[in-house]
Amino acid sequence: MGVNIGEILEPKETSLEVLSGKIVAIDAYNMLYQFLSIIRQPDGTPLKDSSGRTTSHLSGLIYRTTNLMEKGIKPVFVFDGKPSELKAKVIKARSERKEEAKRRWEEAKVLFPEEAFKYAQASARIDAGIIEDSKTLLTYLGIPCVQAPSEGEAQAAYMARKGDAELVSSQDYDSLLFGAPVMLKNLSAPRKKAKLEVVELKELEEKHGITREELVDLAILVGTDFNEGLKGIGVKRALKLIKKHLSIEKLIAESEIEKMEGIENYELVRTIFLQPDVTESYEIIWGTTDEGKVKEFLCEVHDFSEERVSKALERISMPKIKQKRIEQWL
Amino acid sequence: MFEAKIDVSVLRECIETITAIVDEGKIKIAEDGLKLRAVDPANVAMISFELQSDVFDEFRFAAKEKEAESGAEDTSESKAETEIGMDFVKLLGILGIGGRKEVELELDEHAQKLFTRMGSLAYTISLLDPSSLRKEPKVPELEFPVQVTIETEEFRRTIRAAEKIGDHIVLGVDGEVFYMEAEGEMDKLRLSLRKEQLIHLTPGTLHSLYSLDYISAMSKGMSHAESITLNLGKDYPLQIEFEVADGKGKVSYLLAPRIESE
Repeated sequence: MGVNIGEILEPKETSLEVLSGKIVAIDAYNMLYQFLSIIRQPDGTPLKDSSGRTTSHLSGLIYRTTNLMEKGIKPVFVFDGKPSELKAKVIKARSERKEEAKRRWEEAKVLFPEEAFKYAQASARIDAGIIEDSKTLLTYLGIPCVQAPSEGEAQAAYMARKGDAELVSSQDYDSLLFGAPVMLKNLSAPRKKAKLEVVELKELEEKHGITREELVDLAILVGTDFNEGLKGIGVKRALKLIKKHLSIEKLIAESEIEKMEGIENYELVRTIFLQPDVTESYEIIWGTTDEGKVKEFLCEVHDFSEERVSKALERISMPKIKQKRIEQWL
Repeated sequence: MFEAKIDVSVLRECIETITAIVDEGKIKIAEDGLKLRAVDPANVAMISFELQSDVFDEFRFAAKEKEAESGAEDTSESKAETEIGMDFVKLLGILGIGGRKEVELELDEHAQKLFTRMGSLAYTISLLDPSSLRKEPKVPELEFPVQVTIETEEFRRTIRAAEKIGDHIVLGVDGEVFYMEAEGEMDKLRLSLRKEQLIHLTPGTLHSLYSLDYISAMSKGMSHAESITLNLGKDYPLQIEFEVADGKGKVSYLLAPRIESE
């Protein structure tokens, strides 16, 4: 989901080591969704506790976040608030797709077991219980959670612009449109599956000689979560158009666009990205991990293996293994 | 002036040793060949790379005109060198699409471009501004108590296995045994090789811990070398030395250790 501008980006590979000591604002919904779709049994069934509650997200959170913390990364989770009304259409379509995926998954489990996982992944949904459990676990781990008024990514980008975070982590590139100076992709992906990548907004602007405002217009032409985009216009063509005309207004004035279908609401969408609904009232404080509470919540309430949870916790409480810098020997 | 011709696979093998550590860097061109020394963005690893000019099928280099004209520098002409900023990842990508055996290189220093030609395909690479790249690191002064020479495949296999387990690995020597050890949440791996199973070993007792991410990257860079030499110390950097391009190229990686602290 999100805007499809990957083609004009040149992400650079990075590693957790490089990020040591940095504050990363994580688009929580985005990451939870990743966990819910990836962490599943071979037939596509998510992890569940003995009462049948899904626990894939908790598994992702405990093992992945402790891994980040062990590396010295300071995560902040930013949760979505009320979605923009413009997103309603996307949300409805998404929800229909998920219903359909769920139906197909049930079918595939019986008929084509090898296809089941794929459909199960596509049917992953985040509900209120999942959010609440995630926040509870993060709080016990001492990791700050921020509640965005609307889009989590917009709030994360705002925090990064203010200097309260150094990077924004998300799987889609909307963060750049929201103005995140540096964004990180594949932070939640399993090791070795997908490369950890960074994209810098400044570099993108310099490379193509466009401003963030122009990038937003470009995205609107291609299509975002808030508008369909012009039919038959790809990223590269949109880039050319914007570089030549600089804004959608001029594009229209110089009659390069025949039909407005798909971008009628461009002014509104532009506002969503450039003046997003964000809040200044948030606090980012890392607390200490309450190991007892974490164990009680995961092992007693949700049937996690005590041994594995203890090991994950050890990684953040044990004497730290520090990566030395090479200058020391030069 | 720099013009050269070289086997594509040889050049790729060389560039791959560099991209294991850095995506971009400053490479020095001189009469006797190419040189590079660079530290990775996280300041954890370093590469020293040297490639002799005679590995090239053709190699012509002359220092910048103003230096050649000065005349007084005649005796030191062989020391004259040109520095260019190179995006190695891009270069590697280009070498990969040529589908040809040989690549011709030609440097336009004035325009800061490198022309590459593979058969009828010409690709012009814009060079990076050297002043925008990181300064060349100092030459490390290190003394390693222990040296181990091992077949590259043996080392790489162990690293691949260790990747499945955790994110760091211990390299050490215990008497006349060299060992590699990785321990994860669930599993454990140990490779031990006695002196006679190795090409060379200085006996000793010490070990250090290293990041697997880095060693994995390095192990890709060394894939064309038959054997590698590891220089080790206690809680000390690891130096991995090997040859590329039929012995005409020398690569040395240096990796800072991880140290357990309270």
